[in-house]
Amino acid sequence: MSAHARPPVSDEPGPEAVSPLLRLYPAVWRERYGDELADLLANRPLSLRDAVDLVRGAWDANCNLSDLMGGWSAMTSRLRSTAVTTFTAWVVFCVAVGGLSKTTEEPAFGHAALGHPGLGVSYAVVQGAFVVALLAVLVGGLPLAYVALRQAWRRRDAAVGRLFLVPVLAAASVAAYVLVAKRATDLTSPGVHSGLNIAIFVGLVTVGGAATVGTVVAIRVAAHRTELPLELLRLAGWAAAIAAGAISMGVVALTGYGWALSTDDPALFHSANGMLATPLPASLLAILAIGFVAAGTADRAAVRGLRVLRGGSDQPQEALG
Amino acid sequence: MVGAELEGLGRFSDPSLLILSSLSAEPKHGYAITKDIEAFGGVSLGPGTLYGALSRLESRGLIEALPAEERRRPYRLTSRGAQVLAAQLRGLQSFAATGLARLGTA
Repeated sequence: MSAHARPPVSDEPGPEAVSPLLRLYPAVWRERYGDELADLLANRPLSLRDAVDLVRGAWDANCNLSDLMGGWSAMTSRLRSTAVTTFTAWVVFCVAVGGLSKTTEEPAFGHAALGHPGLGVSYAVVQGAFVVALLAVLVGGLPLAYVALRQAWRRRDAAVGRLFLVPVLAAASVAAYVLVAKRATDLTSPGVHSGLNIAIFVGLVTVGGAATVGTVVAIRVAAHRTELPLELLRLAGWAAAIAAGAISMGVVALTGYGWALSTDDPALFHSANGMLATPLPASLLAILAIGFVAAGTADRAAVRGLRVLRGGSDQPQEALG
Repeated sequence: MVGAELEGLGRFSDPSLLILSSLSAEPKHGYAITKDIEAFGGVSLGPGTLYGALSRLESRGLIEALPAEERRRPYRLTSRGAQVLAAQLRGLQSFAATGLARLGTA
């Protein structure tokens, strides 16, 4: 009989009827094998011998869980770590890209990019890398988020639902702060180095930082409270590798942009277009440092994930060692 | 030692050998494995024994899970699993040949 052969339909008790016996197995074991075993039981008569065998199997699974699940749980744990760390790196990369957009918002930068291909191309590569990383994070992360929310709903685990609200509230808080700050500056037109302007900037950094840290912590906690399926973690592992590649490319392009600006338009490079009208090189260096932190974090996570993905199927023990 | 791989599985070593033999033909899910073993081995594996052995074989890298088809998931033999099965069967073959020779029926 092939793997695709359909078992006969049975009138015997279904998975619901045998679920008390399945509940004797550890939760992590059920997460991995529960559906298959329930399906098998739904398609064969549940004899007393089978019931006794299930009780023995459950006893064995509880006593030898690490022996039974060692490779699988280590693999899911590492891929989960890869996914969460890559998400963290992507958020940090967003901060760097946002910083670059803010510091280069003056029309002079657009004109310089038009006149110097090196500047225009490197800036476009940063933006392209941001889009690719965003898509990879969405492809890898949205299915996991869906599973986590569905699982939370089934388990009546409101805490996970609240954790997923944190990124939404964080984004709303930053957007609200920006709107209020813009309204305040439009009304008062404060000087660049005025107390109000500095306070608004410090407030933005504080709100943005809190939103970033809150988002990352909430997603990390939610991921660790959820039993995520290996197939989706594998998908997330590949997506993490793509995101890491895009982030690294973006940081290289960011470096190229700074270098091209310094050589193609030294006056603009040394202008006071940095944060709060400070010298631009200092702001660019800070953005670059944030970018390198993001790339280093993403690359390390991707390498860990790829080791599991490439070696995990046939030789899990070696892959996990 | 490859041939001794299954000996550490205790009461699951015989079911594991049957499962590896069943999967040596083609990938199968749990229900198909039990029916195949019943057909070629005349043994009916209980569901707890089947999944106790499957999880051990998977954690040791002797079999691997394929993508699930609805609620059932096929398994296939890994290259390591094929080596272990071959070594085990060679050992049984040698054992059987020796026994039969001593009985004078070989």
